[in-house]
Amino acid sequence: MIFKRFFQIRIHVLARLVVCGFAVITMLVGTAGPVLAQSPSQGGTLTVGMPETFKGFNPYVQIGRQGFNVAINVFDTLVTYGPDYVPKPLLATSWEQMDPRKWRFHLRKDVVFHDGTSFDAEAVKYSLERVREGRFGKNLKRVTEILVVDSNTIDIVLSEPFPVLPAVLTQQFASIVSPSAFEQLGVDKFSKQPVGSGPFRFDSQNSSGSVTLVRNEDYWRKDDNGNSYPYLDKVIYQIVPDRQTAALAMQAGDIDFNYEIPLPFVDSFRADPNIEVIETPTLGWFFIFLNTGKPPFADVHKRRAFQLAVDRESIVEAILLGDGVVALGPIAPSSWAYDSEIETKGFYGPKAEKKKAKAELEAGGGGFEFTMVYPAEDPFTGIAQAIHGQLGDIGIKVNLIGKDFGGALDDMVAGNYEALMMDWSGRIDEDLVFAPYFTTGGSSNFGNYSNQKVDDLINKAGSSSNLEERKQLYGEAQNLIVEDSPLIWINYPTDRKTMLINVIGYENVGDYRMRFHNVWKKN
Amino acid sequence: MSARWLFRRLFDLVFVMWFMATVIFFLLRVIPGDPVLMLLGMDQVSKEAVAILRTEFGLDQSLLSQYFLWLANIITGDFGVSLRSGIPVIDLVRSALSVTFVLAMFALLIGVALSIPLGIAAARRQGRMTDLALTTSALFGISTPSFVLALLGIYIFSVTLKWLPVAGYVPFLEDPLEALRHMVLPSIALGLVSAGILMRMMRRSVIDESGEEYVRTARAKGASEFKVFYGHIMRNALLPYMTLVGIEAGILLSGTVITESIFALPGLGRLMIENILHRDYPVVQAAVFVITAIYVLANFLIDFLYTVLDPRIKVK
Repeated sequence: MIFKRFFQIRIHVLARLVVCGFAVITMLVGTAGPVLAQSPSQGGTLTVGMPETFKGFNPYVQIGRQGFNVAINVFDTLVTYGPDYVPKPLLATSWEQMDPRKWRFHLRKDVVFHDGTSFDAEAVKYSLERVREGRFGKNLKRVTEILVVDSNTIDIVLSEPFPVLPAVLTQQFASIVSPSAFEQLGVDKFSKQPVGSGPFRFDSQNSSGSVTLVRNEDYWRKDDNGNSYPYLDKVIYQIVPDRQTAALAMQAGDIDFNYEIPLPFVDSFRADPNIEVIETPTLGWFFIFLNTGKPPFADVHKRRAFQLAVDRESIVEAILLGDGVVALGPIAPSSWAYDSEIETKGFYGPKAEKKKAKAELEAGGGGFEFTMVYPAEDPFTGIAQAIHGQLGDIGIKVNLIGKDFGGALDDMVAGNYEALMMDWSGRIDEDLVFAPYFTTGGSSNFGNYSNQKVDDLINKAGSSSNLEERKQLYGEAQNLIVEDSPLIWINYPTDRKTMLINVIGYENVGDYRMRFHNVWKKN
Repeated sequence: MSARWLFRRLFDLVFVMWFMATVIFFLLRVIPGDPVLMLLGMDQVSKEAVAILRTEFGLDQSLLSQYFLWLANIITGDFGVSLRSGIPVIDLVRSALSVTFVLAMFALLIGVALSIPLGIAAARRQGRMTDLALTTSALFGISTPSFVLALLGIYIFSVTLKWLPVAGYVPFLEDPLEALRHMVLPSIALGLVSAGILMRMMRRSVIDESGEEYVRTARAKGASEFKVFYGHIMRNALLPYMTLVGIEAGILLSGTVITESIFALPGLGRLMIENILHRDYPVVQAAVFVITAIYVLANFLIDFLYTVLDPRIKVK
């Protein structure tokens, strides 16, 4: 498989060289040569396979990954990000920190909502107020006041320094809605007929749950050649709950684009000349919570023994069929805070370190037994079974309890477990990862982990505006956390999108969101 | 059909529905899994968020007061709203039922249309090659899970031949032809399994009835073979067959989780499974309520048909 990937990469490199060569020749020959760069063609319908029915499209309530994937094409946010996860302008042209507790955002002047009303500072204030009173309000809990300075400028006043604010404003729950539509329709109707300023207008949802978006003719963004986005006339999100059917529907040409495909299909899709597979590492983890609040994992040596005995490389290759990258700690390689030093100097490596694990085990009083809860579905079950075997090799007995996802979540929140496997999709700023998971009493710290030094480092990093300083502080915190091993990290999974080869221009950020403003279909 | 009989059946119907609704109400709450946690998911879960939502959904009240409130509401026809989407449950169930109904009717039609002639043919040639071939095929139909037939059908007719769409649902009123095209594969996948089950029953019934004394008497009285078969044997052979058709109809109408999932049909089976997984209590409760009603009504109809097919059976 590695060889196959290697050859695929080689072929890609070769193809690029050939294309570059042609481009150079074309430039030398002059304008008489063929135009090599494909210019996007307007029009067409993109049919996207989605795994579940939609809960609604009001961005201020929990509409899940499904709903937010529609929302991202209907609404814009003030700030956005690319594959480097560094905040960049969208509806806000720029922003500055007036003082540690006050941010000023300058807004675009050429934006209209789908209902024809204008986007301005009042609309931003209205939208952010809805965020604050909605289900995602806690993300803006430091905001004390939102002040309209003029129609294109807004100030956000905070109760304490919060350098992460621009990053938070990239999130879909901070979408800017049309205030007049929100008021007129009311929450329930708005959730079924959302009105934003994004590249596509919401058209309809049919009785089978499928959603149709149509081109927003007045969209303000343009490509490098001055052509207006979006290129597509329509995007249809079709509900196909069975992943195998979704894969087959793509092979039959009924679906142009798939939100996700089952792992076993990946190789055959890679080999299919009509299908393109784009794989981007995410910021998320497959991981195991260890309950540090009770035996056996109150003992740090037992936690470390577990951490060291796991052979992540074999899990990623054999169980996850090469999906994603072995995880060496909370900071994923695609994060700005990643320091590759961890690959050589980390507390543990991709392979099991049995000697060290046994030494820790001895220090912790020898072999022991514990129970691990896991969601009884793919690929959790496979990972759990592999861990059962790997820990068994050094004398740790694991009793596995598979539950459905809901049951596992129950146990997690109630702290009713010794070890518990989960996954999550990560966050774009490390403060949004470290603060909830690793500070004492953090909102996602379900293993009751506590280390004063770690708390101090995270608080310091969270109030600094200097990216380099923050990177160093999170690095230090990561080293301490990994040594304390309140979590066992397995891998950083891949955000995998598949599309027919006539679908051009899609950029995969790796955050499980599908942005279609710059996608077009070759005829 | 006396008024007393009707009243008793009606009472049975209400009792069974209440009983099932109560069982499902408490069962859902006994199994692990909290709707609030499922709604929040890993990204937003926190103790404060959980507490706020529990109050909003009334899940912080005692189990008994939740139960009586729910019961009082359904008596007035109010099944509540989905915890996940806020959509009235009755709308969700109604739209799912219409999909399942169409699918079930097509599947049953295929099942009946195949099983009657094939069952008769097998019975008439009992022990011969035709019988062996037909019963073996029926066994194949029964023992092949419908998802295998479904995936095989998709692969052959959609992916390779590109005659039919892979999956999806189009309402009949929107585009009848497209609606039919979308129903062909799922109905066949389900209908073939039903056909297998029903055919074996048809064959057995015909064989059993053919050996009865009244058949010999009819023949002795000089009745034509046509009259003997369709007037006597079939009329009696249809009784057990009809019971099975009723049971099959009940099964099909209560939603077929796997077939609906594979073919992306938003029917009752999918509504149930999706909402059980998310612990959306009001939706699951309403869906079970409707399915129970379908079963009871199907049974009621079969009992009634008995009296038509065999006048000796009197309702008491």
